[in-house]
Amino acid sequence: MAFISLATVVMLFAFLVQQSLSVIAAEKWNFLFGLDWWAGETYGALPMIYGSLMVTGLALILVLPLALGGAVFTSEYLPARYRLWIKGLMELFAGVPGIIYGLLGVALLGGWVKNTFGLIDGNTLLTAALLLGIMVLPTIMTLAEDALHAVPGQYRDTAFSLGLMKWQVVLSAVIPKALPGIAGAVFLGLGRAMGETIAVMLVIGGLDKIPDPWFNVFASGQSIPSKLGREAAEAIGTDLQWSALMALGLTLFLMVMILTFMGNFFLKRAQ
Amino acid sequence: MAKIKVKAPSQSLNAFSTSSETGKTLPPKKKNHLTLPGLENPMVEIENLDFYYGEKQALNDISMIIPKNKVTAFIGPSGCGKSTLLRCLNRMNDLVESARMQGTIKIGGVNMHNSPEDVSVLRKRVGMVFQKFNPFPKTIYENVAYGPRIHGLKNKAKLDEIVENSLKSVALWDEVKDRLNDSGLGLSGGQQQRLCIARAIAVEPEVLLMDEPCSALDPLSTGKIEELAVGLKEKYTIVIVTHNMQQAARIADFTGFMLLGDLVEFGFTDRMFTKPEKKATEDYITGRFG
Repeated sequence: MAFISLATVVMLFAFLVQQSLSVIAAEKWNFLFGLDWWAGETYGALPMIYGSLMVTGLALILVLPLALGGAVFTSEYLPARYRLWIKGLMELFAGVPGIIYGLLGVALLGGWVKNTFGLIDGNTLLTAALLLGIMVLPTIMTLAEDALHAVPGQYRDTAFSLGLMKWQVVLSAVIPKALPGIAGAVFLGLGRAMGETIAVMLVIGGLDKIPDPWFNVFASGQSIPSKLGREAAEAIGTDLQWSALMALGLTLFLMVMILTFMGNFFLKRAQ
Repeated sequence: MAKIKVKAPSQSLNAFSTSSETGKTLPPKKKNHLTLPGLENPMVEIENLDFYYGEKQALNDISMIIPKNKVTAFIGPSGCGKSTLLRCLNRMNDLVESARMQGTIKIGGVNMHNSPEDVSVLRKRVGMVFQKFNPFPKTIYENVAYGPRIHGLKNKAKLDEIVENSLKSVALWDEVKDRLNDSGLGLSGGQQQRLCIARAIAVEPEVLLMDEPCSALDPLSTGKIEELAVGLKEKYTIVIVTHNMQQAARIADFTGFMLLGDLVEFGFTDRMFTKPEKKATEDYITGRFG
């Protein structure tokens, strides 16, 4: 089983590399650092790389306190009979297709962002980040809750037996023990957020540009998947544009992998 | 050995009773303190203790005195309530949702109440070692320093001293002093259990509860823990639950035999094992059941 999944990943990776070769040959480093993307002329992916990192990072910053707080509350404080209700609800939300969130984002969230912040257009990086946050919240929360709930009772008992108060037990015994599982939940949420296409595509604005200043999240932008979603159909059959999109896919793939490895590395060091 | 009456502790208000809240009147309870020499110096006084899991009564009207600086063992077949009784002494049963307790338990003459702060103070005074050795996934040092640190001790030198003394008390210091920063989980089973005892005594309790501390250990490690229990009674009052009657015979000064939630017999260990008063005790210790 492990071999099959590893082989699949390796083959996928090789295919992406092979398909990307011609645009890499044509653009060299300009592919990664170029600011302009004009189909048929030049392919600079930096605005999309920026868009993906910005939207995902912002989504996680907004949602992690809520997701992890909710997980701790559900696992440690909520009576057992309510816990399963919450879990069921979260798993239900986690399974809702991205397009549904996308439609809700267009119908409600875009307008809300526009009105709240007094913008001309509600399709912004912030809107995409909020929507992504809402989308990955149930996944992160339910998986983090699983990790907390799986901490053996003996760790709690031991901590209690040393005279600790409930919150001290949770902070000093339960959470550290569950940390690898919680981190796994966050990485899975991160991967899902980075790869989400349709919902982001509908609310991000579709502008291949890094806003000025760069942290202006009220501007429209573009993430890698939304770019791929928009252009893949029209690029089939063209050589360089198709290759550029494949290279974009490869970039996304590497970004998720690098972030996951980095996360694991820091986690190991923290322990 | 002749029995000498000791003065029973004065009737105190029922700290845990829910009966007053429900308005039900309970029949007056008889006192059945065991009256033995050596009990003049009580550490734990249990009076008319009833305990329920939901509707099921797990302990029936237990009254006993556990003397200071002695080893007291609870023996009895599985399900007799000996672990439940032990866990009443540091209120670990509070963590079970359906649990309910009536009666009085005094530790060092002080009656404990229900507020979380009081329970926390109680658990600092009454430490516990569990059946399955369970060091935290931290270093050896951090395992021992854990309790004092969370209770607010910041001074590194003082912490070092506590760690060293605690590890010396459990005869582990010489084995681990050069690798205090290694994981506690890398030790052998017997060492891990001694580390857990060190962790418990690092918060300087007065009573140390041991819930079948050797049941997951080999005979050699068991011997060390038993030796330790006998040595530790100089400073602490030890209460141990064991399946192993020989263990009780080897290390306990006093033994209580429990059956179906009743404390059938309580007294000097050597007397109980040579001349039990009750038929049920005799049947159990001679291996006729259990």
